[in-house]
Amino acid sequence: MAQEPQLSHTAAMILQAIDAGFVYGFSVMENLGLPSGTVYPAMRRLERDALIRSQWEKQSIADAELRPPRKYYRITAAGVGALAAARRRYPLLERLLPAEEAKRV
Amino acid sequence: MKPAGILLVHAVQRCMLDAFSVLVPAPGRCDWCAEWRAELWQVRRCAVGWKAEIETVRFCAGALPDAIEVRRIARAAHPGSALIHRSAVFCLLILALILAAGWAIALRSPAVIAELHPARYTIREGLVWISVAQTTGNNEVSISFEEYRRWAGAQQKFFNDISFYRMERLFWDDGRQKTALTVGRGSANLFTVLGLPMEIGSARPSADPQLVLSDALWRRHFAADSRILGHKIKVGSSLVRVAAVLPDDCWRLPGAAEAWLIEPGNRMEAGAPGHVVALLAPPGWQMMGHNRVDIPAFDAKSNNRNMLAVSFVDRTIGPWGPFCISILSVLLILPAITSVTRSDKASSTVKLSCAQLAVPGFFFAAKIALLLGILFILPIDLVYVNSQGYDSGAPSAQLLFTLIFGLLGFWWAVDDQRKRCPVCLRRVTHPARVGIASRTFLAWNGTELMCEGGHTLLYIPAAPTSWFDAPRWVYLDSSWKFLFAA
Repeated sequence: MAQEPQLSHTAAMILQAIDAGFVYGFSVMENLGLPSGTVYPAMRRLERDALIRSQWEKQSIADAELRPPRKYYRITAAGVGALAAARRRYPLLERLLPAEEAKRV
Repeated sequence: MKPAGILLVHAVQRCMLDAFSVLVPAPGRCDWCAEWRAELWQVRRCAVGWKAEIETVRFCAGALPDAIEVRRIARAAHPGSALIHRSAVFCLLILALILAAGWAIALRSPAVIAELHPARYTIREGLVWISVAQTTGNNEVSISFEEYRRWAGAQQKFFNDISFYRMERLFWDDGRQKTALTVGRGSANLFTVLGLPMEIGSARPSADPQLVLSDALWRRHFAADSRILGHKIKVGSSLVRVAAVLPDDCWRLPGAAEAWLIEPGNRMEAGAPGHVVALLAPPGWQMMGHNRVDIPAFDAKSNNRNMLAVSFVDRTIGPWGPFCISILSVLLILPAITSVTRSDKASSTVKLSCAQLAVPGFFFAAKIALLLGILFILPIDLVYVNSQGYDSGAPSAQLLFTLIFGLLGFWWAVDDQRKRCPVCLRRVTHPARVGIASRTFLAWNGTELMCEGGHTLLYIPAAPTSWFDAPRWVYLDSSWKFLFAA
């Protein structure tokens, strides 16, 4: 059985936030209260470890809302496993951002 | 409409993102920029007021660690490229490229080439530039033509000959179009006093106005055709005869002229003040000290005027003087800003051959040689590439730039050498903190770095102690090899 990655508390919070539906960098920042210099590099590492994956929003959707297209992040199957392990390790994590609270996008 | 201050802050934010994006590897840079711009748009939408704008700047500052992280991840994904980046050859290649770029810039600029060949500029012995004492040193024009004419007409005690010129913008009319030229308008004896060699032709005192072309103008507008000599062309309001062509790097007096209009003294119009150059007579020579001499003079109302005659000797020093002084200063200052002692070698069973022991020395020598080349040419490029004629402040600026770059460069060279594996010359990596500060005097406390080739470990003490003051290399024997298998 493959060993699950050990996530830092910050990385686990970010993964939880993405799972909760805060799917682009600024929304993660806003809801966790973490600075951009922490959130974005942590998201790069999560993506490198294949716990999340990114996808550009369709241009037509962005045009309709008169804004530039966003890069959305979604949790992967490996990320779900890692998040479950992180929740066992950090029991208060789920209370921080309940997953069902903000499935917005 | 947004206030100008807000627009300026927005420009700063964009500039920050653009500057940080340079760190991101090229293939992912557009993607990275697009993501940060999209996020910035989102942040700005929520930002109202100055406090929020400052918060937005802080948000943009977060792009720096992100760019560094993206770069680190990209490098880790291609360990081969990281090995190349840390190699000695890559280091020398980068230095050689900077040096080549410096020379490429130098060779494209006539002002830099002129500075690099000061020996081509010969000055007559006793040639001085005269100015009002308070204005010297910055090439300011300070003497009116009337004043010059009064001096030239009077019996001279200090000077054998005295000449005048001033810079003017005149139009050259070739019948089809008018071209604006920066012309040095001088007295008839200007080139006789200066004694400058002509490329072709000669500029002897004459009853008619003569035009001396700069080499650049001659090549640009007359296709380097020597048959132009003797022809009359219209410059300003008068017809002048083309008398000679002056080589580009000859003129080192204040003012950058494309041509010189030499007029007999009685035909030259009074007007804007200009520069006065003169040849010192023996009494003037005797009074000369530190390449300058105070000249007592009187104006039309017999009021005393303090004039200063400055020798042109310092204009033929060339770039080597400031360079050597700066490098000497750097070598004196360097021990104060970084340790220049050699690293220790821990006792080990690994024996290196004489050739292996000599390689780091050769590498360091090559690095210093390239660095010296860069330190020579880069400040000259910076100071002279856009200069318009000789500037008396240029040698000081060159000295300052060389000193600053020299300190940074030598500090880097020493630090880089200290962190290169003595066996393969790759930079050691993977720093690991070992020990705790409170136990410095009882146990090992410092940073441990590792050669990726598996040759050495480098121990750098956090605080020097009597038993461990310099960085120490530990050579790894063959029993470590299994850890570094590819």
